[in-house]
Amino acid sequence: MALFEVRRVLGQLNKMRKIAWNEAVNKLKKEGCDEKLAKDKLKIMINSFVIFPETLDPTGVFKKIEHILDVRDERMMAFIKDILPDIDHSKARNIENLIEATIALEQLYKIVQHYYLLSKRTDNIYLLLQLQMQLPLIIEQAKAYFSALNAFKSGIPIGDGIGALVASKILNEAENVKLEEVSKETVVGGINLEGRLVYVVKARGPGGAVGKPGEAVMKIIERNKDRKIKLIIMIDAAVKLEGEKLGEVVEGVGAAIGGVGVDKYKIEEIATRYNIPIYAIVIKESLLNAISIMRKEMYSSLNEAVKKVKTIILENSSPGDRIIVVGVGNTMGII
Amino acid sequence: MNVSDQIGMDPTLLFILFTLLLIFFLSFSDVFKKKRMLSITSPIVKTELFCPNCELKILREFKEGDYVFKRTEEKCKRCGTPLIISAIYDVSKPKRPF
Repeated sequence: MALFEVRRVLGQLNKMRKIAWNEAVNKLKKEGCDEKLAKDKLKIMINSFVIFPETLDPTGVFKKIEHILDVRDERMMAFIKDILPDIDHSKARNIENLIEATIALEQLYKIVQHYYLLSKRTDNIYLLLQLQMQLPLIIEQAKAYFSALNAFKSGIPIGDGIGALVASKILNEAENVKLEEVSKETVVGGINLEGRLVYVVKARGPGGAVGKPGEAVMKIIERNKDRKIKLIIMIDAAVKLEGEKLGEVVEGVGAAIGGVGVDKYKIEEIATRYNIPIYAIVIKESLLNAISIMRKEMYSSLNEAVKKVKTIILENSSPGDRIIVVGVGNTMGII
Repeated sequence: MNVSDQIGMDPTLLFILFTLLLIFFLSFSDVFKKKRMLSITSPIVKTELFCPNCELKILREFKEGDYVFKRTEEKCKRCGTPLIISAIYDVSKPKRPF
């Protein structure tokens, strides 16, 4: 029974990765790339890998991780710009996201296939049973990446973008806000809120980027050395536990940001150095919701989150103070 | 007269048969439950536009190139002001994952 079940899931994963591959090829063709070239380049990109730095000597490991991820990001974008030289940056980012989802599905398929074949070759039923036990979680993850394809190929906002959406709404509610690119693909706009100067940070949209909020916060704090930043507020999507409501807005303290930890480290480091409190607002959603098209329920949380940001600012600062608000997340489909 | 006497079978054999049938039933119902788990619903994406002047809201199908807070060339039916995209979301009914 376990063998039958794993084989069926493996078949489904195979179908998903083939569909993802075709979607990626079709998208590249639609943007003007030759089919053969698209397939050849995609094959290279899908099989590419990242070797994380050695952590036996942890000194400066964040810089090393950041460097390696930057190289990977640049290489990915170079690949896309190489086959589609006239493509605009936003579209290139969306294609990059589409390829990332294809890579994730390919990896899931390969791992499940590996354990399935290994258990068959070694006649080890326990390996197979372990795999069978994990199937519901594997399926959930595969479904999440598969649903993400729809969003990535058309540049539709995804659940993870709720933090960026909150920042964007705050910026759009204010008038004549001038946006400045403060770090790579990250913009900042200054708004006035009852006499306080609020720096609103988010990734540059509407392409699928997450930017470098850590570096942005560092630069803003360094620039405002003369007048200390009063507080930092971070807004992000957080994984909800089973039974929790989708779109629930919750307050806390600490750096609300995911990823490999480089941005989190930078924000925590500078906030500790200058003794700046960090407040967090998270919007609860599942992994599936986070990387698939944003659901209507999430927009109901948007106004609540904006209200909470303003309340925290007004309760914890005085007129004349400077505050940083960071909208964390993928800004696909959000300006 | 009990069931085993009625059908002329040994009660132990009948018990084993029922147990086997129950195991088969539970296993197959689990397989079908997992099959449902693999199904994926297609998204139904809508774009919500609003008029900054008279606050009229319009809901239409998503078009490629739409993004949130984009000032579109579509005009408000009431006052003719260019509409702004306020939301893009999926309205399909999510299936229970498990």
